[in-house]
Amino acid sequence: MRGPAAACLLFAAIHTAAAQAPDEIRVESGIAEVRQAGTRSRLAGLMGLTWRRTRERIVTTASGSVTAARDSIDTAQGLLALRYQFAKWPHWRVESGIAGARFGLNAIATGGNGAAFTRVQHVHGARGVWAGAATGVTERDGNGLRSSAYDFGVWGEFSRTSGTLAGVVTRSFDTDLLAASSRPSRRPFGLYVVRDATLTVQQTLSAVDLAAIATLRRGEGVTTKVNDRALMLAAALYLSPVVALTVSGGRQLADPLRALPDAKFLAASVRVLFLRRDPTVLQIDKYGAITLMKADPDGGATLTIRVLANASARVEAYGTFSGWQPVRMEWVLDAWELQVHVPPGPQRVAVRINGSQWRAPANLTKVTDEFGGEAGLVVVP
Amino acid sequence: MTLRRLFLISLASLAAASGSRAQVARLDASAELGLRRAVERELVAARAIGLPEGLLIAKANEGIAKRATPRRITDAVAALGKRLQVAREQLAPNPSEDEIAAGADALYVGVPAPILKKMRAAWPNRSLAFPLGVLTELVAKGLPAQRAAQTVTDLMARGANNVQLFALAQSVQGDVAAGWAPEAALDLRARGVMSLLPPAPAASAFTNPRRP
Repeated sequence: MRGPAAACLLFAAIHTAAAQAPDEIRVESGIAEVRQAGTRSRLAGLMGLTWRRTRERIVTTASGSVTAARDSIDTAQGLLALRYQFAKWPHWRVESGIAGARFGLNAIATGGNGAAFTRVQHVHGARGVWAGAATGVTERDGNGLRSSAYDFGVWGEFSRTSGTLAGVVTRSFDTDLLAASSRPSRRPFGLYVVRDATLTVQQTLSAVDLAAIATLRRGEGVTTKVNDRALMLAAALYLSPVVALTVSGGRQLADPLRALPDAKFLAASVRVLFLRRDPTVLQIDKYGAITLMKADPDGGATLTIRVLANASARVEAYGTFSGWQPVRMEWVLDAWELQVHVPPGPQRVAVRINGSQWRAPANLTKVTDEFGGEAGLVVVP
Repeated sequence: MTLRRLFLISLASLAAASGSRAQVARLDASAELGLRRAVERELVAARAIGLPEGLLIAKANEGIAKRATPRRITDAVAALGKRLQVAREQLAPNPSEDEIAAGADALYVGVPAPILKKMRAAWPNRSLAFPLGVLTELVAKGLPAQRAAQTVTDLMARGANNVQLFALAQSVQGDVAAGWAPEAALDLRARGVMSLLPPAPAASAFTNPRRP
């Protein structure tokens, strides 16, 4: 039972390590060593495909993965999720999705898991809060074991650091999964409840992303208590804008909703973006991102960068004026806007929406740089 | 005397070392140690030949902000150092830092180095920073460097000011965005600016005498 679900754990960990970017097709391949409580380590080969499409108000994500280990870890799983932004209430979003997994492709162990979730998010700039609910069923040995969960949390970004604090209350009848953990003193029986507090911190360095995920668990069943904690670390090294090496390791506690077992793991993978469709291109083409210039009496000029994107989007600009540090744009009437005073001489400016690729404003001369990016060039008289 | 000289030399060395550290300290704080050392080597080399270090640091910080690999950042900084050196030579005898930076930008988009020398010869006593910026913008739009340089040089020789050069670049940008061929747009807009300028000095007529 515990082996098959380890595949879910591997990909959950790798996907957690990966920096999420909109509108892309991403292929990941790697290898992992997994050790569940009370068992020997196993090696597993991993292959995953993720597709994400971003439109003005809808973000669609679909992913599939296969894990091959020539034993019960063999697993196939899939996920489909939609996130919708309301036009009338631009700060509110609803995210829903379904996930499924099939264990034991070689018939050594068989079973499956299905889950559905919904979250409501309130987004304000680079910060927000959410609350959600999820339900799932794990089929094992012909028995359906139900689980449900309620989660809530806050997130925020501060310069190059981002953090998430989440609380999850999970109720489950999947006692086999909990029994697989070494922590319960006795085998649980019937419904049990676990409460998790999870802190995630991510730090972006020049070509490296680092992440740490710490979980504190308190829980009780009919006849046992489950108190535990876990830490996962992950790093992604960008060899180029489209190729990254990721490593992750640590421990994840059992997740009855997704049938993930308690396990320690160490994984390494290569992530390649074969196609990156940029929502900024669409939105700039459709609505226009422009830079206006007005000469200042004391020399130099004021650049007004304006992007007509959705009010709930996250719109940033950077360039020589900011030392290439992203600057959040302000919502002014019906567009995102940023005004900066610049000295005479060549200035380069780029904008991006929702963390996508940086693009030159449409009315400026597009120039590429030595780092594979592009910006708009304007020479201030 | 010897001790005093040693003391002064030590003071000068300390000042130079602290200056070097100050420059490197301006690098983005997240720069890795290896990158920091590589950039420092480039800064020392640039300082030795009197190139503006601030531009090299800005380039390194740009690479860091864009999450480029240390190797790519180091290569970009080294390449910029070479372009700055070429620009300074071509814009001799006394180019300003802005002119050197604008010349390096022009070289980056594909303007041949001798064109910088020709522009300096055409405008020896005024700053070339803005004309070089306009030239860079025109070439980046897809105009042939020789053609763009000839147009800018002609306008400079006729006494065009920075505002007129800026208007030229903006107009060409608008025309290209509207679907015009870049060369056709440049010809049209250059003629428009020319029409606002005073006639060419008499010397030009002698240089290009009209046949009867």
